[in-house]
Amino acid sequence: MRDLLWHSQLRDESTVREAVRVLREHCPPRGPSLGVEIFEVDAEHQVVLVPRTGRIQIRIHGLTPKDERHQAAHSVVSWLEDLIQGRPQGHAEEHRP
Amino acid sequence: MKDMNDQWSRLPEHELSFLGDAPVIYHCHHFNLFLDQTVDDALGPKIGAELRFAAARDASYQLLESLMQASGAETPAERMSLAEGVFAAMGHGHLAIDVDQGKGSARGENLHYGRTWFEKYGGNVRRRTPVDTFAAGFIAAAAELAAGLPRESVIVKEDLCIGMRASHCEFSISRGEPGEHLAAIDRAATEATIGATKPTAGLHEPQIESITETLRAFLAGVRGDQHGLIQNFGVYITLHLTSYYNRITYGTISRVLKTAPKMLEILESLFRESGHVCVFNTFGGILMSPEWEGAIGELNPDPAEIVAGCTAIARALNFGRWTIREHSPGQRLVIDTPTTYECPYYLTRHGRSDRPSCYFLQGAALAIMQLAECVNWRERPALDQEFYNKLFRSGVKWRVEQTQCRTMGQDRCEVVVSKLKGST
Repeated sequence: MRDLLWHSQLRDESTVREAVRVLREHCPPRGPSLGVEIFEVDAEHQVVLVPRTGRIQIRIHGLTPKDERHQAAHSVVSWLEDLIQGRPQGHAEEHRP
Repeated sequence: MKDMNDQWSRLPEHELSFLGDAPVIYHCHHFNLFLDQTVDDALGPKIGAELRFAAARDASYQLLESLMQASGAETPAERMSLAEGVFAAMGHGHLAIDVDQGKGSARGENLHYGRTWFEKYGGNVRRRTPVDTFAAGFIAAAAELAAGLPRESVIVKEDLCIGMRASHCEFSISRGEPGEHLAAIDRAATEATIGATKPTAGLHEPQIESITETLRAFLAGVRGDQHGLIQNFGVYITLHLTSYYNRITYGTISRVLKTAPKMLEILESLFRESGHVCVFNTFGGILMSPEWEGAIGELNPDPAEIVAGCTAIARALNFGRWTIREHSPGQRLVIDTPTTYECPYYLTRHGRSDRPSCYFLQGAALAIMQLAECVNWRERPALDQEFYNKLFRSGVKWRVEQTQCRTMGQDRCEVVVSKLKGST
């Protein structure tokens, strides 16, 4: 499934803690989880965070048209960066390039 | 039916599971599409589709009849609602079935086979025949049960298919002549074929059991989303009926043996390849997933760790109690199991075999060795077709031999993967 999984890495423990905190504040949690925190972003995309390692995976929903997947991933990443850095929030879709 | 988990049961020591009275496992869309295509390649699209439809109707009837009885669904509306809900919960997409006395129509949205075929091939290939034969068989079984019609008596044809670039799928439902009714493949039949055989511990057993338990707990909560799809580990997953896979596999083998026996070797190699496809995509996806990293730990690329991890994944997916008997990294791997998900079907419907019959186990074991030895896990490679071709379609340095098979009267199934002579 092309362009549906995107990876990132948080640099330290305090950033991980902050990411978990703000994601819990802004996104509905999505279960079940297996050692990870899963958050739903906008329609159906997900941010998956591994608290103990800081690994992040952005999951773009499979029904997203292929030519929109890059853009969707970019929007989620930008939105997440703003969220962690405490910048004013819109929805992820408002971060389209 | 309030919760599908209420209807779930296991033979825990053999790592086999049942939904209602039907044996079930998890498989991804790559495997599902590959197996269907192998059948059609061997038999042609018409006979292949007929076999797949018969298998889907047969296996689905077993499932739905037991679920309807257990849940007390009695009216046609209750029974159809249950069928639609189960289909979506298993990750096969959404069906809306409108049928009375075996005649009517159905509409499918995001059906697993059609949706994923289009995702995987639709950009390059224009398909001429419908994809969703499993859904057609499922609808037929539901229609039979809703109206109390004879088993194998409803025919369903897919008229529109998302795999053929339609916006959704449509099916027409009609009455036909009752077809052949074969012996049931249920929990009792499965237990009867296993007999008193008990599993014994192999290498890395505590580690494998611990990982299996973790993965199983996760899978117990996995259900179709609002689209009736299960997207995880980089694949679309289905909870599926082993009798479907087994009937189309062994039905194809039987027909080819009668009509073109010289093709048997090629066909068997393709059924083995279904194991490569599954292990590469699903096992690989699980090993590299955040869930693995979070619950098991960062992936250790040591071949022994990969082999142990894959064995645990196989157990959690209900493939059987795969056990590592020997492992010499870079040289040899021996896996056995008291039974595979293939044997109960074969023994019940075909009897004893004069040749080993666990094609999936054979292919999967070779693929596990390939993943353990030839993948640079630290790079987190993309599990795409290009990488698959590189790993499995040229220069594979292993051979696999099934040395024991329950279908041949032995008390377990054993496969040996060893290095090809002359390979480095």
